[in-house]
Amino acid sequence: MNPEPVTSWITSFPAELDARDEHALALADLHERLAGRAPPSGRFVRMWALSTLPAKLFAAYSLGWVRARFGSVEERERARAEAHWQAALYALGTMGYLRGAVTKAGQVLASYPDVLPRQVVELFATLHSEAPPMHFALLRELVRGELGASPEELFAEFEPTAFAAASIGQVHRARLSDGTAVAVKIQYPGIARAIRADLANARLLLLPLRLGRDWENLMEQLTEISRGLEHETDYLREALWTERARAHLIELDDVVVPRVFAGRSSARVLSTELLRGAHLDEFLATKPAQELRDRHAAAITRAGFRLWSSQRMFNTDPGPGNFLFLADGRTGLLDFGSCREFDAQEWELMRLGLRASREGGEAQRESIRRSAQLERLDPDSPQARALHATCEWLWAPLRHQGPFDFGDDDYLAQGVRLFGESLRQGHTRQAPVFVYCLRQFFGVRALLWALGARIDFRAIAEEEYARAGL
Amino acid sequence: MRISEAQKTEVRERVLAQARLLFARRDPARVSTREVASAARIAHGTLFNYFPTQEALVLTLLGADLQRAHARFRARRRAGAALEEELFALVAAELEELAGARALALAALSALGPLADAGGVAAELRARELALVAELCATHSSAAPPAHALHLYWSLFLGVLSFWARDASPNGEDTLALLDETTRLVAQLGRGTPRPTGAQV
Repeated sequence: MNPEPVTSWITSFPAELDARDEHALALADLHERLAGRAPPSGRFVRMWALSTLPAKLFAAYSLGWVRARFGSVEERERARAEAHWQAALYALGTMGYLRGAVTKAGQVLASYPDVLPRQVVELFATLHSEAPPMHFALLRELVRGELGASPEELFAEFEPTAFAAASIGQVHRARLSDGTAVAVKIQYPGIARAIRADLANARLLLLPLRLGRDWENLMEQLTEISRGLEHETDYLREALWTERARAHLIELDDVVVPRVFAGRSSARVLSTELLRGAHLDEFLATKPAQELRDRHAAAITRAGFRLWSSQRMFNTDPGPGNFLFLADGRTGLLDFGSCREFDAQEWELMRLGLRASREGGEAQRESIRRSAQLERLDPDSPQARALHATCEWLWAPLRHQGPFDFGDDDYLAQGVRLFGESLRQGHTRQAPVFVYCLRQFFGVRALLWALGARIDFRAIAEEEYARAGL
Repeated sequence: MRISEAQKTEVRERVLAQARLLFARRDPARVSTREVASAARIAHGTLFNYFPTQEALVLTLLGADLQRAHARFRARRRAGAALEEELFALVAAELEELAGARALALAALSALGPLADAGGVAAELRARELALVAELCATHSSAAPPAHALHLYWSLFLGVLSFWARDASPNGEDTLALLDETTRLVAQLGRGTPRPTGAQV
């Protein structure tokens, strides 16, 4: 599969469309149908479903294109809206069915407002909370298989209906015998192996590119993605990351990381302290004051820099579903399933990036060359210019004195444009660790943009760097 | 010498208990009726007064397991559960009961399939299972389930049983996924409507 069509779809999506009620009905209908399907774990079945996604998108768009070309202006807009909606619906349908790696991809895309048109982002965003649910009898068997006893035996109370769902599992409220409220995350049966099958498919689909000069680097990046996704299916690993993050963030008054209950956890079941708070959209719906939004933004930023600089680790998935806005003004950090720790070589690259963000000039050129894994980089080449522009954009908040306005639409739009251009020009070569670093950089900026945050990003970063002796 | 009903029952139970022990240690296909009779301390010929074939013996044991599972399922029924959940819970309880008797279940399968003799213990076992499924369908729909829905249930039930008996996936998660899909399909037919309704599905 050539990656170019993906970029083409993204850039060809129309920008503005009106939501319609029948679309909501169509979505509900789709979810009902999806609820009748289990995730297919056979490799060829999954490959078929993946392969038909582009076909479905293409059909929806070509139909829309024909109608738009021969219709009046008003009809053209309507046809575009319909084609757009159909494409999004088909994409969501395929993702809901596969539930695995592809759904994760949908969630990642939803973190990038303006890369995709609003309706698509909203659709993808529903994956954070509206994946087809598992019923209690199935959960019971999953828990019994994992923990050797049923939920009724393990918990004093267990709510049979999930209160949150994601791509690879769903979360239930429960109560321990001592009265502690907990959140129990339970994974879909077979999803870990299904994800591995998806990734094997991705390698097969990429085979036609194997003679390209960046083939080896592409495979390294795919290995990085594979490793990250596999880690996300291992809740024991997530429990360890969560405990580690909790231990190192406990000093931050504005941050809460839930406790893990190891005796009620396994590779496929994770029990943590239940935090009560609002998710991003609910929080923003209350029209919170700038001061409160900034407080949350500062807490999220400081926690990120604290883990990055003192633990050499970061959460690769800063999607909005992983943050809770507590009534007392603190921020809850959830889901450490996709953390990444730097090895010595990667950490050296990060240190070089830090120096480049402070000094610019030769350090910046060297940082970019090494991050792109190039022997040499002509400073006047389009690639060098694109990479420098992207770095300038990324590091702007680190170089800005005083509060930086993350809510500035132009700032985010510029980053998305630079990222898109870089992809269009085929500049995908990079050190594998940047696959998730970029996800984190963009994800955090998208989150701060949604919060309309105005915080002194540089001051927070420098305080945390100094604390770690950087 | 005539023997009392109580003695007959005692011998029958002893045969079943010894057969279960032997089948737990070895594939039932490799255990002879002579071995069963010997373990139960009765003459080989006497065994056939109680169980005309080894197949009948295997099915009787399976039937007893399934009846215990049905009782457990009834005790655990959850108010407000949708039909697909109830069907899933029923088969899950059966698989839980059969957990230590996979070989027994496999041995029974050939006697339960569509080409098997319609009479005898197999027919009783099938009728008991389908009566319970029909009862469940009836509690979720005003109309009785169509006959083809019950037939399909039975075919799929045997398919799940066969899959489960050989499933090597971690904690049998592939069986759970298959059972989930199967019971959703049967529930749609059993309700007589194309769409799932009711509580969480």
